[in-house]
Amino acid sequence: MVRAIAWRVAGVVPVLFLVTLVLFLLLRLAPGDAADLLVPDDATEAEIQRIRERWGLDRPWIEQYASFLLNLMKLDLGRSYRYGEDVFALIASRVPATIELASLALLVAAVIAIPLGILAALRKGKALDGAVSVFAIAGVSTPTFWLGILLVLLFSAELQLLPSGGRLPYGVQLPERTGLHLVDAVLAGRFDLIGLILSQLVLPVLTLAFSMVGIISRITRGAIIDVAQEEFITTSVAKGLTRGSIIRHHLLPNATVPITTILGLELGVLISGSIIVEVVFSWPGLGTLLYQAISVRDIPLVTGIVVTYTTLFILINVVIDIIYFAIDPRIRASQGA
Amino acid sequence: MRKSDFLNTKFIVGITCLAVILILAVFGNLISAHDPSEQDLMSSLQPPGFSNGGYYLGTDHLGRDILSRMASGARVSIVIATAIVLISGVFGVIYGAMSGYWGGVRDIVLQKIVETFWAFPPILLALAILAFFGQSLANIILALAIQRWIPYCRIARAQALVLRNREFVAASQIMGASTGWVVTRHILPNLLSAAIVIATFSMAGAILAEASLSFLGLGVPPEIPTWGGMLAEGRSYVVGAWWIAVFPGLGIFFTVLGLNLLGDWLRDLLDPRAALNLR
Repeated sequence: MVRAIAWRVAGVVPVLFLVTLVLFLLLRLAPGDAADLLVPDDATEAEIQRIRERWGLDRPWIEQYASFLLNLMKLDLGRSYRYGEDVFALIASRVPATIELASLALLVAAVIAIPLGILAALRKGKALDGAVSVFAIAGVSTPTFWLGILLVLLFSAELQLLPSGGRLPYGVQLPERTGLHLVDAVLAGRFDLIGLILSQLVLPVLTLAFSMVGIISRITRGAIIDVAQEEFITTSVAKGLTRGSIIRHHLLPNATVPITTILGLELGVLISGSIIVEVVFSWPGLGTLLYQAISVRDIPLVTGIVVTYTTLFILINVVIDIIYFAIDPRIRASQGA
Repeated sequence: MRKSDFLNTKFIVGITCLAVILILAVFGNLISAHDPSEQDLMSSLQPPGFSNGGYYLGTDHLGRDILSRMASGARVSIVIATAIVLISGVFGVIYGAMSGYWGGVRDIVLQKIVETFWAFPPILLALAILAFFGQSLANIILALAIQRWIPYCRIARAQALVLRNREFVAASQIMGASTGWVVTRHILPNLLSAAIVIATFSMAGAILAEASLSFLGLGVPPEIPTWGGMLAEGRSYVVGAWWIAVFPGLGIFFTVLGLNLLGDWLRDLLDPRAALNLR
């Protein structure tokens, strides 16, 4: 098992290598002189020269790529010219906000969708089943930003129940340690702030979770129905086991792998969705940072953020594969671990 | 197959949604007397109705007619999404079919490239392209097609791998058929139904993605009316003028819903095995 996991982790290196190559080629293919792209419009000749040297733009492109890769590995893409700060320091300061939003949204979506999918499968063809299907297809058809705006219109402007954006109300101070506000509030013993933090989270989390609930419940339902058609279920019915016992001991454990798969596949939706939700709710995470960076064509910052998202995406996919090993003995066996 | 399977709810609702949008796209500018970019500041933020100077769906903050802007937005969405689906479909099918048919080292290299493009989270690569290359219609189509060819490539390759060892393919090779002939005559026809299903879902995704990019102001240039752009521009005025936000969103929603329902229906129709599992 350890060997199979190590093999999977090692497989990440060539993919990351190729991903950076694609980004590098796109940067070089972009119209205009690369040095102009990498400096602000009002840069002096000396600054342009410094960028040329840092990115190796006066050397053959193989060497340019080598120095790009080296800078990436040193987590050094220079300064963002919008913020004047180090690119990766800036990114690191924004990552916790995104993680807090995205992981809560995934949690909320899973907690709602998985039981819903199981119920729909067990009541196949009934009203609840139909409702889940309708909800699923409506969920994937609703533009995230539109839902966000409508929720703000209803809950913030009309009913004045929830804040329309931001992470903390103006003027509220919270000592940052992890950057995850819920955790920080607990660490600082400021339990009075938790309600405040949660009220800021409700609308963005619901907006982001909405489209995922539909898909996750539908896949859960499909997985349960697939397992229900297996022969060992027929056997356990023939043995005279109760319905509850079959569901708990045979149906659900065997449906965990496809459900884990869909949680992994939803990761892509989570990342692209969170960028838009962050912009709609002025959530100060990586997505808003990317949006601002693209608006002013802050190329070093854009490159850094794209590399960060992609690396996170690839690594979380590896973690999901490792979870397969942990939950499914068949996969362990087939990998010769 | 029973008639009820063919004309089921998914089909009827899906086709109705799309018909409404198509009618809007084709006839919208005939129904409304106003030009989509004509500003009439005297009648800005008019609510929808029949007694407000012909602004049936109301006006935005610049007094522009929502209905005619919706119609233009529908055309832009449909044209861009169609271009994306055609380009990615043709490219993906040819790429996958060649990769599978050739096999060997060429297949390994081509599949490594697929894996690389697939490693980017969706929309991220599109955003990078728009940031590096700047905004234009061509760049949006390129940006949104750059990952959408992969599903076609997967099925085309799988099909080619199965077919290349079949006797009728060997027979045509012996008779001197070129790679191009074998791929177009033997491999492509077998892919058509799967490719149509993928294309329908992919078009829904492309419309959502284009709207999201235009909403962020990174998509279609702002002087062209789009549904995403209308939502972005009207965002600060929606409190007290709900119609600015509601109508463009409904446009996107019904188009994407119609395509998703139609895709579901086609999948059930063309692949009875999947229908058994999912229904």
